[in-house]
Amino acid sequence: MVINTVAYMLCVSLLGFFRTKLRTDKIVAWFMFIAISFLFYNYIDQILLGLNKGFSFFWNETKIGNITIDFHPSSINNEQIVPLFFVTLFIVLNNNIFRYEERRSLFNSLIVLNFISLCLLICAKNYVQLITSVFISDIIGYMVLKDVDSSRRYVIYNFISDMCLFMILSMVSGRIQSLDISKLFTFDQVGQHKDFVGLVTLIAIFIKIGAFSFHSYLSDISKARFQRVSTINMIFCPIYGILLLLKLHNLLNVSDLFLPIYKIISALTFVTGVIFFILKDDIRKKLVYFNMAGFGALMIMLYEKSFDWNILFSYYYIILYFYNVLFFKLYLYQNRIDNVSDMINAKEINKEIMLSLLLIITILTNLFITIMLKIAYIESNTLVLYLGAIIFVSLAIVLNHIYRSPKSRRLDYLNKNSLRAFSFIINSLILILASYHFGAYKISNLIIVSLFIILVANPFFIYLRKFYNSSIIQETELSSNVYYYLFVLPIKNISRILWLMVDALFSEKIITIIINRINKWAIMLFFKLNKRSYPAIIVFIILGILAFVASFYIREMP
Amino acid sequence: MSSYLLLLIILIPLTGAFFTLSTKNDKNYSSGNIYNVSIWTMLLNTFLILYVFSLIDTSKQGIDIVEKYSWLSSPKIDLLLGVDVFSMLLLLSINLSFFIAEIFIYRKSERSKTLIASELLFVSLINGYFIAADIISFYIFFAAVSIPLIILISTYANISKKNILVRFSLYSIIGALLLMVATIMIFIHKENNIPLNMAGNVNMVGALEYFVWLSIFFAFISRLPVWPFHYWISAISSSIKNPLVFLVSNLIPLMGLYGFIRFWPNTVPKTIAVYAPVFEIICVITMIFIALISLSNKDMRYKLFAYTTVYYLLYLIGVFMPTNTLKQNIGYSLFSYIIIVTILSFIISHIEEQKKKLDIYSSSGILCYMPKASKCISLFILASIGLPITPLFWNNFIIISEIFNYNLMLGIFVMLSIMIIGISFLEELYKQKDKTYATSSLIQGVDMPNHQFVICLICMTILCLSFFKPLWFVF
Amino acid sequence: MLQDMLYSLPEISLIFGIINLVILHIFSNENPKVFAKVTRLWIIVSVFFSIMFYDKTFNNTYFESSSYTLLFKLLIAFFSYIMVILSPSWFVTENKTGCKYLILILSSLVINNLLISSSDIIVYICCYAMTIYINYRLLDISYDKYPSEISRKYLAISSIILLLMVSGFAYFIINGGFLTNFNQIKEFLMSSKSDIKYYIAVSLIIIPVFYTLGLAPFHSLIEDKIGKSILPVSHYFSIILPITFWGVLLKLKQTLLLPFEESISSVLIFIAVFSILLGAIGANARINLYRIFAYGSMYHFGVCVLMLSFFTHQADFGLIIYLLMYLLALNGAYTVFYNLKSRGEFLSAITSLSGLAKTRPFTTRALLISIFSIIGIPPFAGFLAKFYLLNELILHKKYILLAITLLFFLVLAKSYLEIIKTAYFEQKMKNYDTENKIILLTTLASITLIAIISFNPFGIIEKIKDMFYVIYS
Repeated sequence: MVINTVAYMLCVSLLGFFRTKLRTDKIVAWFMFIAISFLFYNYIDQILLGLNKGFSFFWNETKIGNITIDFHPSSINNEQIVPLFFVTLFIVLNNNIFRYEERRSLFNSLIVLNFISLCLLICAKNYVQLITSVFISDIIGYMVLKDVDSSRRYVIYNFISDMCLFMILSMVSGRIQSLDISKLFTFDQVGQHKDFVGLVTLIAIFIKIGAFSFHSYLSDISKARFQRVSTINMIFCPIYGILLLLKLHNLLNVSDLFLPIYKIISALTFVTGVIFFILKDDIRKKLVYFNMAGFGALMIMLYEKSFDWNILFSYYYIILYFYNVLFFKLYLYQNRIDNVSDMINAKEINKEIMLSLLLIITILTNLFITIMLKIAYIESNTLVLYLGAIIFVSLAIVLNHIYRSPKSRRLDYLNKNSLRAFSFIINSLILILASYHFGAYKISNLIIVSLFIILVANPFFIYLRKFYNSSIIQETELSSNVYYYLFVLPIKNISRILWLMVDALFSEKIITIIINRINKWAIMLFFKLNKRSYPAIIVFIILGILAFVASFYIREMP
Repeated sequence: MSSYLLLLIILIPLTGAFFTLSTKNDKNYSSGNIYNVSIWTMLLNTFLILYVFSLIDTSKQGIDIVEKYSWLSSPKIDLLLGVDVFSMLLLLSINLSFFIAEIFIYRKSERSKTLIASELLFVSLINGYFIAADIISFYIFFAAVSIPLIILISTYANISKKNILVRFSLYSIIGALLLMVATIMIFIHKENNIPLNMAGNVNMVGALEYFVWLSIFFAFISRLPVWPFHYWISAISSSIKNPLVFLVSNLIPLMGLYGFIRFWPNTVPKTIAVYAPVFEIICVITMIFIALISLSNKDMRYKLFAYTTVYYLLYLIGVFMPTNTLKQNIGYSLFSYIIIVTILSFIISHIEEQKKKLDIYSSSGILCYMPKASKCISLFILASIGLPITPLFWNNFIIISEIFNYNLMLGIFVMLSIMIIGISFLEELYKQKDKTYATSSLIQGVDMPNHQFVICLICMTILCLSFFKPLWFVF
Repeated sequence: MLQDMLYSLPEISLIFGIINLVILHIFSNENPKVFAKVTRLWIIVSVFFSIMFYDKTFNNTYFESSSYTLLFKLLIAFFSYIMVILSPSWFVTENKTGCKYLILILSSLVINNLLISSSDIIVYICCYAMTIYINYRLLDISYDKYPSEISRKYLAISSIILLLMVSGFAYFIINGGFLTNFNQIKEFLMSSKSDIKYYIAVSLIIIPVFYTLGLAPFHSLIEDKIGKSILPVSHYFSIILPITFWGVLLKLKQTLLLPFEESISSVLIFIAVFSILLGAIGANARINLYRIFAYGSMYHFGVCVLMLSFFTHQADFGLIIYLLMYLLALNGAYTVFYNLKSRGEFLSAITSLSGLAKTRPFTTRALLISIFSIIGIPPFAGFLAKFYLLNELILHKKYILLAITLLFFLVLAKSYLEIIKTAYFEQKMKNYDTENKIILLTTLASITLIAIISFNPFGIIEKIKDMFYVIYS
């Protein structure tokens, strides 16, 4: 039963929160991996046997519908859940092998919790579950990042995105009087301000994906540790963005502006990703932009497929993840040098390992092209091929820069890196088996492989290295500057002006000043009138008597 | 039988205040005795409220438990005390908050006798305010709450803000007078003291109707920081360093809000309804205004004050929506909102204290020295800005949904102000966690004590449980 | 004869008290506390006899006793008793016996009792003349520290006022037959409503009451009477005298003013509004605490006159409640003043309250409660007063008057809030002397009473009403 799987996953995730010694931590981490592997296997088994019955947990009753926590993994849902499960498992494995974190079990716990949150998002039938899972992932992502500098914009951008989602879903639920996601299409009939709804939802999704002009927070993340960057990029906001897109595209379709803007942004995302993947010097930034390009391509492919998920997209996603893993290994075996321009020629550093990595990357690229071909076939669209080709070439350029680096160093300065053969074996095995499964051992594939190696080895791409010295390309973040000058600075200035002017603006202070003045004038008059001399007293008494007399005659008047 | 239970809820804190005042001025023992009295008083009251809650039929709308006391025979006036789920939620959150507050400030404040006695008096009177079920007793408690407020603000506010005190007192008096006039007019019109839930159905005509509803309106507005009458409350909040008094001053608008919820009719007379959009615009302007100022203001207390203002005005706009379905949602939201504000006030106060102790000018990086406080403040700030682990999230969802249903622009501005305030909080949190400003080592004795940390966790648990089952504590 | 003597025991006991004090003063060198004790004892005896013979009088021709007169006698006695508890501290500080003061107080109590009970205009005028004399002697208690110019001024102006009163009365005697009984005059005036001369005569008889109460435009000396006299005398002028004369005014209203209800109503409104205005602004203009409260009294008495102008039983009862609650609160404030001493000097400037909250928290709280009560914040006594006031104004649809009253109430409230502000926010300027325990206890009792009376304990409001309504039967 699925509920068992979720429950066990939850229990496994709680293990990491106990404070343990280093040695115990290692044991706990490996135990967690074994448990997750078993649960993964069990889950697949249940799918194959048709035993994965879902569950619904009733939470609250409201006037516009019941709120439930649903977990009903249909076949379509499983096409999303299984690859995420696989990637989660792999992240945990790599964390254990490569010792990403001081506290491995805690990191593993966060990854597992995030996976549960992803499942909740995929299976969400009502808005509350949807938003809750998105919010939870933001918190977990922040906890994974830990680094204050890199997570600052991450939190703020995601907060804005979450608030936009919150706003739109509250607006929509109020209009259609339902919390059911499947009823979103009815907003088209009853809803108002459709363009506004469409635009704001789109902004929220773009922020999550890290699309063009909304990606600067992902660029900030590149200051964190490599594995955290990779984790965030793969199983946090961008994939949440994609899943939200799938869930909410009915709502997006109500606006006529959705498709044109979506097409433009996804194209720009892809193009920007590719360009900066090639031009950026920092390998972590390269990775961020590579993922950006990958998700940009996925956005285009989804559009071509009318936002229907396909199993091939799952494989595409897994391949993206593997590229992340292999880039990490390149970074690792380049002695954790951040800048590609400082990396040493592959012949002179961990030569065998680097060559093995190149081989694995080649197999992976072959598999990647195979998958892209299949996608192009099912979509009947050559655009996908072009996307694949561009990624293919950009990969070759970057690998060329790493492997054919002009820098060399004396060997005795280098530290020997441990092989971690287990990781290599696992990766290779998976890729070889996958290639076999997808029929990637054809003659055409051989041509692709050869072409790839030629591109990596060619001497011409070296001219692109000059961009590594350009401070404008390396330092400047165009979108963040635009936002800063267009939004942040004006808002800050307005708020400062308001803060200073709060006393001067029309407020009750002005009213009280006026009243005080009147009071002072009245007191002055009082002093003038209220003399205590004998004549004044007599005058007052006479005034009093006159008042009596006058009142008598006033009564007499008609 | 619920005889005298509601009266007890009012009298217990009052008795505690009396015992506090009667303690001897012995430096060694009196301070501890005072705090012990207050803690036990609040604990007892909280349990009593929970017990009363268990007697209520939570599915029933309207006032459930009622107690009647005769007051005057000429004119004949009987006072009614009654509660429903909404008022019980507020009662519970207030009493729980003050119980938490007293644990946090245990033996820390100067002039503890005045502080605790006034605070217990405030709790007693505000309990009465939420329990009052007829228009006259409602007015009595509305006006009476000014007493502990004036005492607390006079004692603990910054000496440079003395003119603000006079203004604050005048506004309280004006508000009380207007409400008194309106109450007596209704009393005379109906020739009897009417229950609160019937105040909205009073049918008056002409200028009288106009005057009565306007008076009631301005009476409650006098407690809310609505532009252009926002300055006094922000000045008072920023001048108070004592966290308990800060909490009390931030609960003043709750009175105005509650007044609107209870007194304001569902179908407002047309003469007044015409001005509703104007009022809504003013509320939204205030929200944006305050939210923007909080971005520049570096004082965390001011940011907290801005947050409370924005949310009070959000609930106020919710009250003015042409639907009577939001009351329960506002109640549940307020329940968690008050607890969150309480915890945040005290953590912020702790941080300010440590800043002073460490002789630091800026709060940048200060949370690096205090991991427990850092965790708590992060958690509660996230809860305050809408993290879906508290009832605040879900109930605000409903409220904002209704606002959007009513008017798009209003909804947009409301969301904008909520977002700005959230960003303001997050920015400050980040600044305080920024390691680049902190010295490398953990400084001993700077972090919050363990018992306070446990209290924060317990509060978060209470909020989480309330998220899953709103009335989980009702047996 | 014996019976008449018996019924006059309340007054006789007070006279015995005077004699006792004189003997003590002549034959022994006692301290003020002993004199005060003796005075208090005789006051209690007088109260006892008043209650016992509340509906009996020693002379039915010139006096009448009822529960109405008992009510006022009890109130006068109650406040006098408190005053006599507090005043010794002043005299001890000044190193005086205070015997003259106490004798005058007892004398004033006798006169006040007679004034309240009087049903004859001659008795009324004689008692009023005696009151003037007693007040003059009280103002003269300056011990060379305070100028006695005020007492001379008071005597001069009061003589003019008395002259007006006598001339008014003289007109009745000459033109109306020798009618001296109030009820007879009332019946006579009922048939002469349109005669302005009788109306003026009545006005001249009433004006002294307004003058004594310090209502505008007859307010000229009230500020100096209260502000320039010594504290115990100021206390007397602020509380004892007003109770007496309000009791008298209500009685006169039912007899002399009732026939001219329509005309008098407008002039009463004029006096009320003028007093409200002047009282509120005057309180803001002054920095002496006694003067601030004097002007405050002017405002509140103006409000009472407003209720008087409605000429209904309910409004009159509201007036009584308002008056009672206000005087309770004022009494509370005065108990605080007795503890405001620095280096043996009683402080009266508002600036002398600077830093009081830090050094004397209990005293400050007591002052705060008194002020809150005067402002009308529930659950203190003043709230009940405000309730009755607003009830009457709204019931009679006097919305413009309501607006004026409330507007100037806010102006007055500002002056009270300045006192609170000074006590809490200003830096300490003086070192205060040790507080007197008896005064502290009296303060505690006063503020307790202020706090609980609006809850109507033991149905006290109903009891007061029953006693008060006798005047209409």
